[in-house]
Amino acid sequence: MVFCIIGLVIFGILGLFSAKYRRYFRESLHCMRRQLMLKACDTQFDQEMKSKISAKIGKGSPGLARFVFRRFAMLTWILLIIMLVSAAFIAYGFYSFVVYGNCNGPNSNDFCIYNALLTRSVEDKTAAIKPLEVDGNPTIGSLDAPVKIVEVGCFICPFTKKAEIFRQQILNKYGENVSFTFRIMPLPYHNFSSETAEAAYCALDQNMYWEYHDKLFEYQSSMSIQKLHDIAAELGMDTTQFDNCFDSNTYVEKVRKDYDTGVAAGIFATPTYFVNGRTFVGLKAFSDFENVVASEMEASCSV
Amino acid sequence: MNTDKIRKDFPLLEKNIVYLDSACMSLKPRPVVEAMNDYYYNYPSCGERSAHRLGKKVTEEYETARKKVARFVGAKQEEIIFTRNTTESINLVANSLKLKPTDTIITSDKEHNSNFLPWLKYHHVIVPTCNGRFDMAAFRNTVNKNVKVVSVVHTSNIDGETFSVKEIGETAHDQGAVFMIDGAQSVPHKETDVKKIGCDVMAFSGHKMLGPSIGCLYIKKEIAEDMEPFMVGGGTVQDVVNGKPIFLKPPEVFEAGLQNYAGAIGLGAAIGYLESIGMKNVEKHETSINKIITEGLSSIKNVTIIAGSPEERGCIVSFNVSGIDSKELAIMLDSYNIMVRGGFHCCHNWFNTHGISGSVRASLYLYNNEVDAEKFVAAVKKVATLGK
Repeated sequence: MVFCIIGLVIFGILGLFSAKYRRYFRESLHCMRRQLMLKACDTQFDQEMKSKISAKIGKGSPGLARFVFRRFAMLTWILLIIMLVSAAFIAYGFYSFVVYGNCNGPNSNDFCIYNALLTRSVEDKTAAIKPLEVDGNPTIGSLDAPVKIVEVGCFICPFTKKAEIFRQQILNKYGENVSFTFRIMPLPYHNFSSETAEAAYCALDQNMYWEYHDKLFEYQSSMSIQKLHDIAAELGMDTTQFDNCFDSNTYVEKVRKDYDTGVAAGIFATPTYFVNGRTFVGLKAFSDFENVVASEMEASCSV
Repeated sequence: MNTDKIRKDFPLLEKNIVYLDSACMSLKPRPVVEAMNDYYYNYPSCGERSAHRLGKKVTEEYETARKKVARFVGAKQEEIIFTRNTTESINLVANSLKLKPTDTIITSDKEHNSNFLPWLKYHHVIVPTCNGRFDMAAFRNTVNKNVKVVSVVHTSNIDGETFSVKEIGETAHDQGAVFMIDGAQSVPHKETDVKKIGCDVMAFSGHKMLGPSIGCLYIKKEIAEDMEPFMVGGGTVQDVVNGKPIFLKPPEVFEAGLQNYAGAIGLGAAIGYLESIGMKNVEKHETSINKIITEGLSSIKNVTIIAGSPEERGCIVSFNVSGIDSKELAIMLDSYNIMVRGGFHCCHNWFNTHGISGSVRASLYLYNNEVDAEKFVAAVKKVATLGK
């Protein structure tokens, strides 16, 4: 039983590369199935493996082979425990990668193998994105600024929320040299992504867009329709106007267009940044922005 | 006997393989494969039915093969029946002799399951073996007029011991019993003459004697004529009138349906091959290789060989290494390119009765040589260090 589990994993992987291991994979699968049905494994798979492994080792090191042969059951248990612990770590790493973007946890920038493995496809997809312009979307700063940053984000996306701090840091550091535009791309798999976008446009009607924008991120984890109305009241907006705007679905079509525009441009994750047309996908370190903005400013000086 | 020349007829041996599992299935020399290919390429037709020239050619070759088999075991052509294997041959006899469930059948405790299980539906009496040998005294005390069949193995597939079948047969005949022998391990390895042995029935297989998968059954004419066919159908009747069949005579009456013509023709070629070498030479050669193996294994401290001397065991060396299961040992030897069998060799009753949990069996044939024996001993020496 123990070796069947180990064999299933090991030969399953090896079988992807070489047909000779597929027979062993099938045998371990067969044994596993029988064991799960509380029947004895009728192929003597573990016996075969024990003998083959011991004989192979015995050709080079008889002493080690004797040890393996006599303590095979114990060794397979140890191997199984190591495998299970490794599997738990891999699962945790994958979970962290999906949720936090890094397999080492929320506050780590250490090396992550998934990043390395997925880099190639992300690079390809990034290269395929067509840059989006300001196009009349809410902007801080002058449109004549030498560096124009356009962020495409979703109010319910946790990565967009995390990236919010960069906006303030960039504006503080580069002042009039940069403009910052936020384009909405409501991700359909997040609840309230469209509703928050519609509410933000209703706030724009009252010139309260950025205040409302900030509040949406502040209340991201506890978002509800009622919360959208409450935020308007909290910010001292004309709630009657807001309610009329929101409840009559004024911006449903615009928000849908925002999403379609993002998809057509090839955007596959939020936040996505365009710095003078150069594309950056995902949550970045502030230093990455500093370098890009600095180089763009330098480029604008030399023109 | 020129083993180097013989080995060239077996392409597998060029692949650095030491094949020591011939008691289960022998290798096939080129002439056997060529004879079968000739059938499949040039006259793959029905025998004993079709009147066209291909059909006639099949019938001719099939009957020639029967004639060769008959000559090889000292029988008449019409006394040889082709079957699938030894197992089917014995089942045919067990189900075609006019026996009642209360009739007594005697076998030894050392029988292959194929000569043990078919008799369980009758009053089955088991004669023990002592140090691997058939207990004649116990047999004489057991056999009486109620015994209808005495069926014993000629040469054991466990350890290669050969029973004194002539003596057993005489005792059986004294009591009026039919005497049958399982010749699966004797016919391929030593001169066998059913008349000299005095047996009434003998079953054996082609695939253990350089031939393809096919079984043979010798039944003495008078006994065969008194048997009722176990399986009937096409090829077993002369005519069917008003729903009543007029059966053919043996051997055709026992060969229902289309036969394994290629198998029979291949077996004919295998017999020709063995006859060209001479069965005495085959036996002598196997014993000499067995001596080398026995001597080598005896020098390994945790190895136990089952039963007697190399002369008694002929083509088989059965042994155990303490601390290593026989199947595990066989798998380990596979890693050294050595093919042997481990386990109970289909003789569960004997192993269980004697409290032995299987054995490793190295079985020899004419294509094995001294180098095979030395490689085998060296490999066993190496893996035996893993045991106790």
